[in-house]
Amino acid sequence: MTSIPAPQDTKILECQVCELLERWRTETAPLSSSTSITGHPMYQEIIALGKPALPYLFRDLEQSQDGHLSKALSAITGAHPIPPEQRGRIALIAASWLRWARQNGYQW
Amino acid sequence: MVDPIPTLFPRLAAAPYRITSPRTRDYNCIAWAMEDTLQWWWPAGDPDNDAFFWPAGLSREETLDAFLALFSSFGYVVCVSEALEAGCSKIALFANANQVPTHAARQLPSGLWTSKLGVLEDIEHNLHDLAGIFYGSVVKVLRRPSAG
Repeated sequence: MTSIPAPQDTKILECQVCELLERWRTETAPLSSSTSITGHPMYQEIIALGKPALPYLFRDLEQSQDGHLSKALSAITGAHPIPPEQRGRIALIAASWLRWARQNGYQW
Repeated sequence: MVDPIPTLFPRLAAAPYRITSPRTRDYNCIAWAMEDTLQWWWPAGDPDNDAFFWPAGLSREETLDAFLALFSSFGYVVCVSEALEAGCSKIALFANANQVPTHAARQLPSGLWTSKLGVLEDIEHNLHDLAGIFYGSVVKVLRRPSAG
């Protein structure tokens, strides 16, 4: 039986995602290296949170348009919804992920 | 809002620089060096990462050779001097202590340099004032004939 997380647990997870995203963005802000940006320890912690983090990541993506989250979203979902012509186009990548999320029933 | 740039690049605390754009995630320093404001350029070989562009047919290794091959494919050749030269466009490539590329800057007609700082702003600056913990130092300067 799948247990439904208690409201306080979801709030804790939401705070955790927000804090990780903020630290990741602060500490990688001056970097250009995609390898360094997605290899950052905070980014890896975001991936390790797994599927329960997805609604908060999609919420952030809608606000931030930060397509650098694409690798984390692929790692968590196993999906690769970005067409080749959008590679490197950060805002378009965010839009494609949000479209995919809605098509797959995610709510945030 | 406090400007974090001199904190990140301490040499800029005592040197002139000018912010010339708003912050954006749309492009990075390599794109800006190539005068592209639509894509994030980087040679990442990770098939699960869509958030970078690198021209087809070029090595996606994060090495000096891969970056030199990129600039070469756009007509740049390595040169000795970072000084302004009439009829030439110049790009400077930064790398860390392990010779891993970190940043590129483009020379302006004034002789100053322009850089996109990650997801932060574009700035005009003296070339070596971005040296430090994030970008290391300038390891190559390249030039090509100016367009027009």
